[in-house]
Amino acid sequence: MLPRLRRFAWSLTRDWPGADDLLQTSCTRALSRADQWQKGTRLDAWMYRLMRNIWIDETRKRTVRIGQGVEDAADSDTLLTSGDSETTAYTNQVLAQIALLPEGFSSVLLLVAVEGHSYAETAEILDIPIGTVMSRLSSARQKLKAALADQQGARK
Amino acid sequence: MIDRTPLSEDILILLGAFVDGALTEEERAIVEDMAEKDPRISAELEGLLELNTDLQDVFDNFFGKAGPHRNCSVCSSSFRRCEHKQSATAHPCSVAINWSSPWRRWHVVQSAKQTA
Repeated sequence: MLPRLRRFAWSLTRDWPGADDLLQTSCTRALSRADQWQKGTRLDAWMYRLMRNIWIDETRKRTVRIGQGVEDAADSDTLLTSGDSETTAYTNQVLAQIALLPEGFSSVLLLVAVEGHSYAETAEILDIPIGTVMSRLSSARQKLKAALADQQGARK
Repeated sequence: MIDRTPLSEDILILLGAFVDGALTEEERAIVEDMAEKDPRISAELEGLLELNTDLQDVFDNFFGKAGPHRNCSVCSSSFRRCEHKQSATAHPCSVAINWSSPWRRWHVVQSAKQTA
C-alpha cells in the first residue's frame, strides 16, 4: 500500500520531499489512531482520507505554494533521472503537466485513472460530490491532453 | 464533410465515464453506437485510452511498481497491457485496475477492425 499512498501524497503536494513528509506523518497518525479504523472497511480509503485531512490541516497552518509549474518541477530533484532517456523525458513531462493542474484535479486523476477507484470511492475519499469528481476528471484529462499535444507539436 | 466541432463538456464527461467503466450496460451501448457514427467520439475515446495507459506507465516509472510483480507469466509483457492476466507471482497487481473496463474491450474491438 505504501507506493500507492506515496503517489497520492505526491498528487496532493506535487513535490517529492513534501510527499515523503506527508506520507511519514500520515503513517505515524494512522498508527496512533489505528483503533479508529473499522474492520471490514477499506484500509486504503481510510488512509487516503486521513492523509488528505492532514494535508488540508497543514496547508491551513502554513501558506504552502503548490503547483509551482514546469520550471520549478524541472529544477527540483524530484524528477526521474534513470531509465532510457525517451521514457524519462516523457515521464518528467507528464508529471510536470500534472503538477500544473489546478489543486484537487491531480488527486482525482490519480485515484480514478491510475489507481482504478470508482467515482463514488473517489468522492468519499476526497469528500467532494460525484459530479465534481466527474467534471474535474474530464477537465484534468483535457488539460493534460492539450498540454502534452502542445509539447509534442513544439518539438516537431 | 468532416465535423470538427469540439465535443461538449457533457459528452466528454460521458466518454470519460465510459473509459473508467462507470456506465451501465445500456449507457455503454449508446456510447459505442455514438463512436461508430462519429469519428470525433472514437478519436476521443482512443485519446482517453492512450492517456490512461500513459498515466499508469508514468506513475509506475516514477514511483515504482505498486505491486510486487506485474509481468504476465504467459507472455512476459506488462501485466496491465496483456490479456492473459496471469501474474508471475502469488501477488497479482495490487492496484484495483478495472480489467473489465469497457474501454479495454472497445480498444480490442477497434484494433481487430484495423487489423482486418
